[in-house]
Parts: sequence; C-alpha cells; structure tokens
Amino acid sequence: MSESTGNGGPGGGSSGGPDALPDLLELDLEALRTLDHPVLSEVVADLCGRAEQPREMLWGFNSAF
Amino acid sequence: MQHGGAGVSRQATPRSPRRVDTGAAGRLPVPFGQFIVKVHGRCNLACRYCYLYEGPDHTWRARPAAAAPAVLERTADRIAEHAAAHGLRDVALVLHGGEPLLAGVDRLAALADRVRDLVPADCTVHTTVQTNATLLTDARIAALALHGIRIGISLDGGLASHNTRRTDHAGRPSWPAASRGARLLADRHPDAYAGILTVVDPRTDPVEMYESLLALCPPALDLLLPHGNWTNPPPGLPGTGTAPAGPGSGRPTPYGDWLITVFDRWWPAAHRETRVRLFEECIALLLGLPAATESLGLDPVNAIVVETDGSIEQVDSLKSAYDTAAATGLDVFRHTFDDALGHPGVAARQAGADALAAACRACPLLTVCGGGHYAHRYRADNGFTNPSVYCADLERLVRHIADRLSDATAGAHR
Ligand code: SF4
Repeated sequence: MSESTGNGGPGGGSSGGPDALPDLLELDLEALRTLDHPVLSEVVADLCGRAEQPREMLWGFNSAF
Repeated sequence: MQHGGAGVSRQATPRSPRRVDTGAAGRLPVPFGQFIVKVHGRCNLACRYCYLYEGPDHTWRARPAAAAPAVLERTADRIAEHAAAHGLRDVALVLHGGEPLLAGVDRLAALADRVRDLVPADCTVHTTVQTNATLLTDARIAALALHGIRIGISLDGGLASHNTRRTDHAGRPSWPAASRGARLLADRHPDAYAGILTVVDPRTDPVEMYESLLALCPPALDLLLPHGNWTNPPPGLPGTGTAPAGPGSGRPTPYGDWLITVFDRWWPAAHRETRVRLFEECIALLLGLPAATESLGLDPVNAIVVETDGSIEQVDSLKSAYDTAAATGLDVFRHTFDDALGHPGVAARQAGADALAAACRACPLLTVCGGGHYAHRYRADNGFTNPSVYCADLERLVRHIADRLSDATAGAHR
C-alpha cells in the first residue's frame, strides 16, 4: 500500500509554527469550570474524570449512542 | 505556573501524555470495550443514501435476517469471556441492525440480561439500542427500559422536510411514525433516551436543523459526516484527482461551514441545551484528553461487531469503502474476541499516528483531527493511508472550535 501524496493536508509541523493550534493543554480544568461560560463549564465537568477513567469506557463507535 | 486542582489537571511534564505518545509501537492491543451486535440485519426503511444496503458491500444479502438465539447466546458468552479475561469494569453493548426492533423486544432483552448475568460481578454493562424510532411504542420502550436498555434514535432532522429520504420500502415517508416514537421517548421515558444521531446535509439550514432536533429534547446529539471517500466522494465534495484537500486549495468547506454554524448556536447558550458529541470530543482533544469518537483523534478504536450469523467484523462504516471491507474471517462460534484483537485491520485502527498518511503525521492538527474517520480516508488505489476526504472541512471545524475555546479560556489558570 503506497502513501498518497496527491491529497495533501494542511501542512506545517505538528507543533509550534504559524499554523499551530492554540496551546490549551496546560489549562487547569478546575479553573475552567469556574469561568463565566455555562456550556464550557458543563462540558468540562463531564470531562474531568476522563483522564483517570478506564480506557474501556471510551466508547467511540459513532453509529450509535 | 499552576498545575493544581483536585487531581484533575494533567501532568505538566510531559505536557500531556496524549500529545507525545501518538504511535503504537510495542503497545499491547487495547481490549474491546464496545460490542455492537447486529440483532437484525434488515431494515423496515429503505433510506436512499444508506451505506449498508445501498453501498458497495453486499455481505448482508447472504446473512440471515435475524440473529438466531444460539448466535446471541454465544455472543453473550464471548463478551463475558473477554470482560473477565481483561478485567473490564465497564462494557458497552449496542443492539444494532438493520433495525434492531424487528428482532422483537424479548430477544433484545434476553441478550442484554444474559450479558449482564455472565460478566464478572464488578463489571457494569451499559446497553443501548439504536433504532429509526418508527417501531417505538409505549409498551416497547417500557420493556426495554425495564431491562436496562437505553434508546438512541437516528433521524435526518427534527422536521418532516428533513426526513424525506427516509422512506419505507414502498416509498412512504417514515417521519409520522419516527416523530411519534421520538416524542414518546422524550415525553414519557426521558430516562431511557440516549440521544439522536443525525447525518449532516449541508443543503439544510444548520440552525433550523439543530433547533428542530432540540425540540425533540435529546440528552445528546451526534452530527455525523456522510460516509464517502476519495473514490466515492460525499455529496458536494471533489474526489480523486482533483485539487488538494487542505487549506489554501481554495476548496469549499460546506460541511465545515455547516458544523461551525451549529457550533456557534450551541456554544454561547445560557446553559448546555444538549450534549453534542462531535463538539465535546473536539474540546476534549484540544484540552489534551482522550476522546470517545471515531470522528476525531488518535485514540484506538475498541469497538467490534457481531453480525447476524455470528461473524466477527470490524465496524461497518468500513462497508462504505468496498465490498467485504469489514470482514475478519472470524466468528463467535470458533473464535474469541482476543483472536479478533490480532486481526491486522483491527490493529490498524489501534495504531494511532503510525497508521496515518504522511500529510496527517506532519499536520499541525494531527492530535485533534487524527485524520478524521477511518472510512473517509479510503482511496481505491492505495487503501486507507490518506487524509480524510473531509480534510479541509475538519480543519475548518477544529480551528474554529480551538479559537472559540481559546477566547473563552483567555485568562484562565494554567
Ligand atoms: S490530520 Fe486532519 S486536517 Fe490534518 S491532514 Fe490529516 S485529515 Fe487533514
């Protein structure tokens, strides 16, 4: 199986650089829950346990709930 | 720099384990945690775009319509065996089809009960059924709920006009029955309501679509991109041999535009009106957490399918690529789920960045986008080692959510 070169992606490096995504990795999740942003607070409240959650609970199958 | 906070902040060094460990070299396979059982392989609808019955894969024709009790019993045994072997504390059982309610509620309940009875005592089974909602009645919903089965429904939107392509085999619209079923669930059995799956159609008005779905009170929504690939591009997108996919190509992003319009309706609301899986998983990934979706990210797929004849298959979205794409040659009578973990197709779905195209591996969005949905990377001449056919749309969506999240969190503790 050969790799495609014709369907190129956004390019650039995977970290840093002008095309990099904003770095949000070090945000403190507890602090995010206290921001005045109701949707973000509720999302983060759900996500808080995820880092410690067993992997088998990351149910990714998309064609069902 | 503060990293405090009740044990929920991620470690500072490395900044996020998700961001440095993107490959799979030397890692053991991740056990299956989500078992999709095709309890009935036919559907009472004949949606004109259905990838299962209208697409390139024809394996369903040779299979029994309904899974026999012996297949379901054996499947339950295998799930319990896998849960015990890997010490799983939670497993998801998804009753799927076709239209699973065609199998009858009793058969669904018997399977759910058997799995629950056989798994180790410390393992919780989370069971859902995914239905087109047309066969939901008060009595059936109550019976499913009694057996701990929650109900997800599939609709093309919350209005009759959104669902005109969901017809029965005689061409009659499914909407009257589907909307009745959805309302019953929302009004009388909200605790059994898992959510609504909707496939994006960029020709619809995104806000009208979202608000029409909200009117059905789903606790969660997922917005799915229609299955398509470089060889058979989705509606409205260019395919093989045309302009490059990424930004700067000038390629329109109808799906990305549609999704960010919904995002901008959802995000600033005074409370979370419903959970939107695609958006929330994107936020999780941007924050460096693992994600629970096939649409984004590099996390290993831990779902496996059992067909009505007991065949063990990979997730059936692969069937949108080519005939027999999901086959493994294994079945629950002769093989364990551990045998399926060794299948090269399963391993490829657990290989993280190692399995991606060079363009994705060099992409600044790699850890969030992850090359998009596996099925959408396919091209007949080289398989799955390509960016998603939705690359430009995914980039538009991910960058938009990243910018909104960045704005919202400006000034937050780090
Ligand atoms: S990671 Fe996503 S955005 Fe980046 S090249 Fe691959 S498909 Fe495109």
